[in-house]
Amino acid sequence: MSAKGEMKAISDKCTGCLLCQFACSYMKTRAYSVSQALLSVARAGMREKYTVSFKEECDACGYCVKYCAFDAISRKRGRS
Amino acid sequence: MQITKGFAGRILFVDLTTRRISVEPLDSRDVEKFGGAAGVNAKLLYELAKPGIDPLGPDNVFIYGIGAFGATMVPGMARTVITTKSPRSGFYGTSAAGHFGPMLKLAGYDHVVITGKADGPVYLKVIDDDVSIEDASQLWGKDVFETTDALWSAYPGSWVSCIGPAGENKVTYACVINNKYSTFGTSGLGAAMGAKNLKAVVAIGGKSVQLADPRRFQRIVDRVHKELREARHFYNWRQYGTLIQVQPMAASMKYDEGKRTGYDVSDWTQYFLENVKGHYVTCPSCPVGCKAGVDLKEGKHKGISFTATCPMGTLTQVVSHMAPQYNDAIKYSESANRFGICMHESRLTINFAIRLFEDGLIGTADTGGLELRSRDPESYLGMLRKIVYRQDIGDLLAGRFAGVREKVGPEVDRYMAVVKGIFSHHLAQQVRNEQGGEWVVPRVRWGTTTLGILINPRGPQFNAYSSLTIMPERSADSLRKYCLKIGVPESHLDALLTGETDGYDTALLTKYVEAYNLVLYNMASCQRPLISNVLDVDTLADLFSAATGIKTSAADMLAAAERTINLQRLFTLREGLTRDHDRYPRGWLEGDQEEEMENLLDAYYASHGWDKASGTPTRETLARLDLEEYALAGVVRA
Repeated sequence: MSAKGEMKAISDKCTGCLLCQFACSYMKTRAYSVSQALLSVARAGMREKYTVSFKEECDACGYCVKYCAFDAISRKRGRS
Repeated sequence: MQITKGFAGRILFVDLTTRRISVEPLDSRDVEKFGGAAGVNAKLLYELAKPGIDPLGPDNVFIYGIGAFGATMVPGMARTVITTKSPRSGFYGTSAAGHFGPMLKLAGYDHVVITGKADGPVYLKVIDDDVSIEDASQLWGKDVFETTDALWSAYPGSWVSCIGPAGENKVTYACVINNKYSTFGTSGLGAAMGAKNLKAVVAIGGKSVQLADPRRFQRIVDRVHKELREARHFYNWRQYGTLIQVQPMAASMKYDEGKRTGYDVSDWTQYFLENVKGHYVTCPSCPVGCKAGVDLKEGKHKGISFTATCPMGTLTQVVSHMAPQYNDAIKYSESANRFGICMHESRLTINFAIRLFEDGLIGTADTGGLELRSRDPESYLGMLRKIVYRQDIGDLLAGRFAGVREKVGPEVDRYMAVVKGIFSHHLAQQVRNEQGGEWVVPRVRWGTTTLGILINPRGPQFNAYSSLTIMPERSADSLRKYCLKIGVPESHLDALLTGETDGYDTALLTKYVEAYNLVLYNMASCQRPLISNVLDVDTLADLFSAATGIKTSAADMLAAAERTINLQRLFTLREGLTRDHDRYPRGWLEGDQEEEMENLLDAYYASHGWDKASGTPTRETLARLDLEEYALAGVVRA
C-alpha cells in the first residue's frame, strides 16, 4: 500500500472509455494521453472487454476514480 | 501558421498510386475559418478533388477528420468524420462515427487524406510517425469482424477502421466500420475505400494532446461531466440506449413503425432487455454507455454476440420489418455489420425490392430463384447476401438508384421517395394504415428534420438537421430555451418564434439547427440529445478557446459552420446539383404539400443568401463569408 492508499480495479466493469487514462495523464502532465497514463486499459480478447492495471509509478492519487462512471476503479484510503 | 494546441497540428497525406507518404502542418487559419473536422475536410475535398471525378475512380479523395476535442475528456467527442465524393449520391459524401479518430490524433494527425489507388489490396499502418502501406491480400475477402480481429492481434493496442465485402465489391451503400461497430453509413464511404483497394487503416497513438490553458479547459470539462452525470435520463440512456427515443417519437410523431408493420414497441423493448442487451459499451471519453452490447440469449440465432451502434437505428428499424421474429432481425443486424453495409439503406433497398416483386415488376428470374415476401426474414437475409456479393438482381440493387430506375423503369418512382439518390429517411416509403389497407404516401409534418431531408448536402440523414421540432407540441418556452442553446442571438428570436406552441419559422430554424449541428460535426461530437443538452454553443466556444488559445466566440463557431455549409453546397453544385435534387420526386407529395415544399425551399435558400433558381450562393454571400476564392472555381452566379 502506498502512503496515499491503494488502487483497485474490477476489470469486468470496465467499458474502455479511457477517461481514467486521460484523467491520469492530465493530472501528471497537464496533457491528454494514453501512453503517459499510469494505469493501463488493455483490450482483452476480441470484444469490448478490458483489463485494467496500475503501473509501478502510480501514486494512488485517485484522480482517475472521479471519472469512472462504472465503478471499475476505486481507491482504498491509506495512512495519510 | 501551424496550430499546436488542442490539435495534433498535422495532416497525413497518402497517395496509394505512387505510395508517397507526406505530412504537412494543419494551418490555424483553416481551423479558424472552417471550424474543425467537418469544415477542414470540406475544404480539402473541394480543393483536392477535381470536378466531375468518378467517386469509384482513383481520383476520388478520401479524408478522415478529427476535431479539437478528440482524445480529450470532453464527453461525446469520440467521433471521426469521413468525407469523400459519394459513390451513392454522386454528390457530397460524409458521415461521422465513433472511435478511431482519437487514436489517429494521438498518433499525431488531425486529418488523413488518401488519394490514388493501390495496385492490389493494402492497409495503412499508422503508429505515430511510423506510417506505411502494407499488403492486405490475406485480409481481402474477410468480413469486418475477421479483419478487425486480425489487425488487433497483429498490432496489440491498435484501433481499426476497415471495410467488409460490401466495400470491396463497391456496393454504393457500403460502410466503413471502426473497431467493429461504429459505422459510417449511407454515403457509400466503404465503396470509395474499396475502390482504392484500401482494406483498412490501423492506428496506435503514443503522443499527447497539448492544451493552451489546461486548467481552464479541465474546469469546464468537470462542469460538463457533472451536468451530464446528474442529467435526469443519464441511466435510462445507459439502459435503453436510443430505444429511449422510440416510444415518445412513435406516440407524438404519429410515426409509429409498429402501426405500419404490426409490431409492438413495448414488446420489442422487453425482448431487448431480457434477451438481447449484454454488456455496457462506451465511446472514448464518454461516461454514458448507450451503445448496446448484443448477447442473444435465445432462439435459432442464440449466441450471436456483437455490438450495435445504436439500439434504435441498428436494431429497432430492422425489427420493424420482421417483428415479432426478433431473433432474425438481430441476425440481419449482425450480418450487415460483418458485411460492412449500411443497415438503413440496405433494409430500405430490400423493402423496395420486395414491393417490386409483389407487384410483378421483378420475378424469380431476376432474384436467382429467391421468393421475396414482406416480413419474411429469409427474403431480407437472402437479398442482403446477393447485394453484398452482387449476385442476380443484387448487382443492380448494389449500384446507384439511377441505374435501377433505368433498368426497371420509371414506375419505380411510386415506391420510394429518393432524394439525391438516397433512400434513408423515414418518409421515403409508402405506408399502410393500421388495418393494413392500401399503400399511401405519408403526409409530411414540416420541421427541421423533414426540411433537412431535402437540403442536406449529403442527402437524407437524420442527425444533421435533428432538433426538438422532431416532436410536435413544443411550448413557446422550450423553443426559446432551445434556440438560445444552439446560438440564436436574442435579437433574432422575434423573427424566428411566434411565442406560441410550435410557433417557429421552419426554414429559418432549419438554418440555425444546421449550423449548430455542423459545429458538433466540426468538434466530431456525438449528437445524442443527452450529450448536446450539456454542450451549448457557448460552452463549446469556451472549451475551444481554452484548448487552442484562439479566442473564439459562439458566433465565430457558427460562422465557421456557415462557411462549411456553403462550401459543401458549392461542391454539390459543382458536381451537378440542381433545385430538383432538393425536392421530393414530382407527384410524391399531395398538392398542397408540394407548394409548401417549394415555399420552404425559397425561404431556406433566401435565409442563406442563395439564389432561388438553384440554391447557389450569390457573390455577396461569398464575400460576406470570405469565400470569394471559391467563386472563381465555377458555378457561382452574380
